Amino acid sequence: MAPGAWKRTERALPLVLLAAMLAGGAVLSRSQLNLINFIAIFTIAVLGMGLLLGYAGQISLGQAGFMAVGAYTTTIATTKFGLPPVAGVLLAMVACAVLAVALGRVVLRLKGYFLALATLALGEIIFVVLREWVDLTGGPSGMYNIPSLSIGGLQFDSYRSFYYLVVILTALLMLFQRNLLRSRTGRALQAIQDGEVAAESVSIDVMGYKVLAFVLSAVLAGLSGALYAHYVQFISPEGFGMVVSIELLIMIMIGSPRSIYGPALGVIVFFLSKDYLEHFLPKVFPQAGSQMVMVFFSIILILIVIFAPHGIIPAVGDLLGQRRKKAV
Amino acid sequence: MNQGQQFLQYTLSGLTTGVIYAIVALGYVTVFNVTGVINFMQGELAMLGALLTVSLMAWGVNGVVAALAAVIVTACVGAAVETVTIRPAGKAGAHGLILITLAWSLIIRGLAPLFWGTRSYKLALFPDLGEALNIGGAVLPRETGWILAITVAVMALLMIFFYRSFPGLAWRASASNALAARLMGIKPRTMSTLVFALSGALGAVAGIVVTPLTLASFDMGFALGLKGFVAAALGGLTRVHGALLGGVLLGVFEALGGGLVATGYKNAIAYVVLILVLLVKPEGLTGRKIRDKV
Repeated sequence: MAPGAWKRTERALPLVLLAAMLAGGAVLSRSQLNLINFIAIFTIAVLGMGLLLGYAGQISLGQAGFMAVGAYTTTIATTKFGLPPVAGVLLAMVACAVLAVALGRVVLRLKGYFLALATLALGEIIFVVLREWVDLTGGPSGMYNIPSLSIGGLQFDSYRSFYYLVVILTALLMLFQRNLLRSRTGRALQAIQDGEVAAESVSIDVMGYKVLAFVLSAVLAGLSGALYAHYVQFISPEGFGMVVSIELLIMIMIGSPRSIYGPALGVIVFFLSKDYLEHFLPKVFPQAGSQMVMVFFSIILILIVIFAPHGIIPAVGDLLGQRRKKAV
Repeated sequence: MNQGQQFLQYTLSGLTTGVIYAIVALGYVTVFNVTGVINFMQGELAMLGALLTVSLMAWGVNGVVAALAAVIVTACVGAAVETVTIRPAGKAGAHGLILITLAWSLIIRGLAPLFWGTRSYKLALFPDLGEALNIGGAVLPRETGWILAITVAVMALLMIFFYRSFPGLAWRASASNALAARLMGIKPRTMSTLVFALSGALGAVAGIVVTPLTLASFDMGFALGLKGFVAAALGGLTRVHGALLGGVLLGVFEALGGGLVATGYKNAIAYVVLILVLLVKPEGLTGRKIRDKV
């Protein structure tokens, strides 16, 4: 390939992909559209996970808690207070942002294991509150009859219309994340990863940027949860338990925590293999339930951490790079 | 029951669960002191120990033998996890080890129903002692005596191990100064395997002891493990007596909070305590201050 050609391809690729996906909306079947809709919804949360884990270097085991806050905020706003869904979704993002700002400065003083445990505890507290505050949340049985999303006169009440909405939204968010990481903020986060003390010594507000990443990841998780609520039109606390937080971590690790396409790729691989395994595994282990799927993904996660700690994309890249070097 | 009796009742039952939390907490303390790792599968090891004992006893094995065998098998699981996955991931850092031990907890919890299904099991480990004790109007099941006795025995054994045996000496040496211990010929790898085995054994003991009170099932591990960690953090994460103090405090606190305030929110109490401890007093009640090293 001529020099520069690859760069041009790289620049055109996302647009071509997006165009292909939008064109595909017309021909895909309902079950395919449904699967992609879930993939897109979770990609939004996993994008935030990548920002937090990959770029800010902070772990969270409570991300599903923010999804829950987003989902329940918009649900309560639309079903109990009659707000339009768009306002509910925006309110959900604001609620997550406020919660994350309040918690971030305190919780992010912790590192590594302790941050993991504190966020795990936060997620569990949210879970317990959702289950116990029956008057507001409907308790363990959840909330029904959530209106589908509509913006102005546009209704997103079918698989296909929601598909267009969520695919474009996810693409825009990926573009936003790419630009954010190429800005001053991205360079500051990189400096923090390389060494917090060094970053501080060139007067980078380490805590400020960590909190920023935490808040953005919470807002993205909240948006994802809110979209989930309007798409599925039913939510319950069980949908936002600790296992979901771990699933988000598995998705980001499958893709790559430090890449723009990593989150989307991780979610795609996760959902496609989950879809397959849910049909395949019960045939092999008839007495085991759905948790066999998680066993499988846990084994994958262990293998990734040991053999490809930066995710599968860079590992494949390294392999290809080695091969290319050998060829030369 | 009047208020005083209620208070006494909750305190006593909290004390019982508290010492069980303390045993789980000891599992975290042994591993953390030497390797600096927090083992997220600790609770699942307790579940494994409990259900193995149930199965062995169902096959007609004597209770004490069954419990001992379960403890040994669980210790081997701990050691195997360390050798196969923790050691090769040496360079993965805290995030990597969090993910690995979390993944193991999901694997153990996911595989358990293959062998034990999803039902709850009773464990008639302690001989029937007749009626419950009545202390000042508060009712205390007789099993409590056994649980306290076993806890004291485990603590005593641990103390003898730590202060009177060579591996225990090596453990204390590695915990107080890993580099110096290494220079004295103590292999950090061997120590790491050893402490994971020990934490498996402690987890199993906790699971076996808790079962007569709460029944055993495949999903008992998560809450027990997290509460054990809260107890460990409350006690300072590095001291054996801190774990006991933390466990008892958490147990009593939880019983009082659940009994007097709101039952449904009982599970959240431990999580709130955890966040408060980590933020306000991260060195715990007995531990030394942990300073960041640059």
